[in-house]
Amino acid sequence: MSGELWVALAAELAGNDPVRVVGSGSKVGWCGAVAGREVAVGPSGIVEFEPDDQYVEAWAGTPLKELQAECAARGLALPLPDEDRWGRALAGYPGTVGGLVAMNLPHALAEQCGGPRDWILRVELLTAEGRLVKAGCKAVKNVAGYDVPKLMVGSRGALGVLLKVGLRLWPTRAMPEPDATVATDRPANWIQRTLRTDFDRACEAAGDRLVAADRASCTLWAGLEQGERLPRFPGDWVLCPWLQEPPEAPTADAVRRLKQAADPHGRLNPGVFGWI
Amino acid sequence: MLVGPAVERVYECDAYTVEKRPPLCVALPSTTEEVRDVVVLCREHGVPFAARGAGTGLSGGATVAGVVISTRRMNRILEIDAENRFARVQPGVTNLQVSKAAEPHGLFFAPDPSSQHVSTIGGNIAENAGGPHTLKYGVTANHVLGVEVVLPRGEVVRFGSRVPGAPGIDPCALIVGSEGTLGVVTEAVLRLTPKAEWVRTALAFFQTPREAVRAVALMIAEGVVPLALEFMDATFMKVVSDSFGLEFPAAAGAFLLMEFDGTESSTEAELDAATEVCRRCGAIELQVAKDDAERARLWYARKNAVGGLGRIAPSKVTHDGSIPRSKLPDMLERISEIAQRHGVVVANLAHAGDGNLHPCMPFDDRDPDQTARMHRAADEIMRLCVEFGGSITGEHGVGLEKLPFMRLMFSEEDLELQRRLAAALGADPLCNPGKLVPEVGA
Repeated sequence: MSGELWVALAAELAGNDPVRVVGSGSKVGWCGAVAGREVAVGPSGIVEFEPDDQYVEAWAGTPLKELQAECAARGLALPLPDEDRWGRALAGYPGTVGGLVAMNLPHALAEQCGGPRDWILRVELLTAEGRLVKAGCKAVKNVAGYDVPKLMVGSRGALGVLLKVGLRLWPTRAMPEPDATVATDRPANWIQRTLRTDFDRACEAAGDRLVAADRASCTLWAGLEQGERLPRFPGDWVLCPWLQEPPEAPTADAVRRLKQAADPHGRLNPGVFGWI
Repeated sequence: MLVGPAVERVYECDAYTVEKRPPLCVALPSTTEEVRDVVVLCREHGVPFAARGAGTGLSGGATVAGVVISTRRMNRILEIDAENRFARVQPGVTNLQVSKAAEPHGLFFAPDPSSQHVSTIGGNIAENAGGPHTLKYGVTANHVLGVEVVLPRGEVVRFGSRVPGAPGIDPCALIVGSEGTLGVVTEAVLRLTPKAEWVRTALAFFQTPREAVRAVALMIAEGVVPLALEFMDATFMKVVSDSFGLEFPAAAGAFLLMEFDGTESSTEAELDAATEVCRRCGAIELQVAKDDAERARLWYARKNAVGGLGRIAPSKVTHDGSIPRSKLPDMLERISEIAQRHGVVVANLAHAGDGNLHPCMPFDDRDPDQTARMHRAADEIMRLCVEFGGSITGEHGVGLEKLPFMRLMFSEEDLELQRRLAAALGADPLCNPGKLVPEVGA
């Protein structure tokens, strides 16, 4: 079943039109507007679960909730805060496994347990031409070839369409408690991470617009009026729907070249970064 | 700049001594601008170039028949920001210097390759170096926040930032582990990790290697997260006890060196859980390090074990296959069968906790037959790692050594995507040619 779905997806990619690749849509609000025909990332389900190796591989369309439930039965988990207890923001806006990797949103265990960049071991993806390509492997340590799985983290489907993702799991009994606070249940539209030395001032500046704060990673979530901004601090980064700003010039330039190499005709999620 | 026959001999290879390529000359730049000038000059004259730190690489990553760009003079720690937990350093700084500079602040640089007292940050980044303590804290890639790099075409760029976790595409992902094929890293921002308040180190001895690695699997399955979990077989134990004067039980066929850190209570609880697992798996003796000196001695023996092989044979090759850890017991048995069949000696070390094996083969490189048998055995071991879902290299790199084996893991299309992405950052045949990813048809 899943196999047939990705074959259909590959056929779609073999055409000429721009395509909009989206998982459950839980994080689309954080992206630029994407033109193109929507292609649902249909395949869902766990492909391989090896509790003894703390390894799970799932189709990109697998709901995170489903994956976590399956893993929890064997005392394992992706180390993300529980959404019911900590809210959507601090839990990283959980949707699908593919979305987790493609968006790389912060969460309230990022300082203690890392994020998708630290957990990803293996990917299978469809290139812009619809070819099936794999990278990485199931072993925790691997330096064979360029680290394509890590490059896919945060790439928002613009470099290739994630099909399967292999991730390292944590024992649930070793998972720490977040050092975070929820201020209100209003939705957030501004995420900011600062240096430790600036975090108190950043939270103060947010004032009653603060939605949640993770002291451990120095990340805050705020709910602002459309178009509004909070003060910035040296080295910080911000994620905000109306602030799709390019990174500094050399990175932006390198990213444009990577995009050009992976997707020469700009068909994969055009506009998802706003600035590419 | 260094030239001459002595230089050609010293720089003809790194710690992978099987393939030698004398360089044309060695450049010793002190600044980013000088690195860029050397790169631009090499391009103008069509001469291959490659960066080199301490030359401790184990796969030939720093071996080039062209201009060697040594980072030896770029050895300054530029900034330690204790409160924000990062260090900004030049590439020729050694791994251990970073941890030493961070120590007064209660911080350290987590990746700890055995060569850490000499190997440089530039080399660690190029190879995405690991080490025993990466089981808990991750490899170099998890600890590089940003780099300044002179790309292969001479552009000076900065990727990453002092604040981790930025959303979006991060070109650093390709730079770390690129084996010098994407230019020369001239500065790095490294994450510093707070030192735990409590550390415990213990040795567990088993009659057979199988019992030892079974204990590893059970320990992790029980949710214990050791700082390090190192395996050593009887061949290596003999080398270590002869070289470093350590006493081991006569009946021991393998040991596990286990280390735990955290708060006092969590560490003691993990040590208890781990020793209980070891007993269940048939451990014949348990030794817990009484003080820092004893702990340091255990680690010294482990980190210098490979060097001790010099007692057995004039040359050695250290392999580096990596597998899902549940396959360790089968893998060790298959390795011993392969070694017997080819008539070679194999001594096994492993970062057992993360499935990274270091079968070492002492041999006499003056004997072509022995060398050929060693290569055949190594070939089979690598194939087996891939069959088990693992990698041909866990932390030593592809380099010259494993280039032909990349096709065991990757299809031509897989490799083509890697080539395209690397070319986007300027990878080309002048910048450290013939490493990491095989050329089309090669």
